[in-house]
Amino acid sequence: MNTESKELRLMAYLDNEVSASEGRQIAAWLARDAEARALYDELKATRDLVRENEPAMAVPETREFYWSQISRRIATAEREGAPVEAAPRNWILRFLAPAAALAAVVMFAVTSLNTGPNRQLVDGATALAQVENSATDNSISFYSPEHKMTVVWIDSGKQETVAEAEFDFDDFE
Amino acid sequence: MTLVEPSTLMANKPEYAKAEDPALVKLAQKGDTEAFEELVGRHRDKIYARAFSMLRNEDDAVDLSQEAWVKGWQRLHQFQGDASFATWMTRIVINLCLDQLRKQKRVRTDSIDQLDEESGGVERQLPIVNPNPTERLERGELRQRIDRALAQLSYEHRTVLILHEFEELEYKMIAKKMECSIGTVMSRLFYARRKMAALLAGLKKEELK
Repeated sequence: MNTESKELRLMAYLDNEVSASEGRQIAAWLARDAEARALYDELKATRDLVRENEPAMAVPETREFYWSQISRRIATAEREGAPVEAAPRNWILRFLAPAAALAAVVMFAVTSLNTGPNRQLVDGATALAQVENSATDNSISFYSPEHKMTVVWIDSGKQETVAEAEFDFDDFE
Repeated sequence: MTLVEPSTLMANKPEYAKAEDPALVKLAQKGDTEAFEELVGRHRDKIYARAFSMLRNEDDAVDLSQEAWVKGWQRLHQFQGDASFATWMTRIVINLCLDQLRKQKRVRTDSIDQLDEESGGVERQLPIVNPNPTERLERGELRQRIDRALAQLSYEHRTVLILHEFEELEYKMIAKKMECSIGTVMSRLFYARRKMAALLAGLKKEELK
């Protein structure tokens, strides 16, 4: 190990950043090498002196002015839509509005769930043609050629959850 | 300081000054800006001091410390109480300062002295000294001397020293924050301490070269 590395390991020893075995080697080195001990003492004295005398600073503004600037910045950030802890109305705007639009489309599909395949719904400007009726996952797909949109209705009441699918509770009887 | 429950505080706002931080934080997390204002008033100097020690510019330190408080308000819901509120805010301002320093580094022209620091080896030529030869220095004067010495370090060396000595971060955490290797952290810390020792011992500039 060269001198540079040894000095860095000496500092790491001072900072408790070495293993126990390396710590013992360094302690033995310090016991026999006066120059190493002098360097260690200087590093330790500097570390302790700086730690114990951190420069103190005061904000160069009055408390009221400093706070007024912060509160103004908070208000600006909130106006600009920064990620403040969301109020309930943000959740409503974000999720319910598009969900309501989808629900309106799905309403057309709901009325034909149990009426067999190839049922076509016509409601003036909107026509949804049932294109698929899947028995395996209880879903029905509808396509609107006018709007070039596909809506998939999944009957979640008949689906098993993953937990239910993997465990047959009868096995525990 | 007498502990005052949040429910009491709601009915009697002048009690904010007597409330402990956890109670104020709980109120602030529910949107009480006056509770947050009390927290700002209580810890503003500490947060500003950390920003100034890293940036060494008063205007930048005021700006970034205020930004830290804004981020603290926005992220209050994330504060779990694992560390003290002051420590949590200090971490926020440190991260902002590190981002700022990285941006500044890209445009900064290093002085010849700083390039000497970066190339390494200078610290090994410094004589071993007693960093506090006049131990009768008044504490205020000693702190000023340490502050002046810190100002003479490059931002890399000063940052490592601040994160290790004042924030008590381990080498690994400093390396992560500064996006460098542990070996680089050790080299910088070693240099910073040796240079600080020389400066505090009153070595003249010519003797440092």
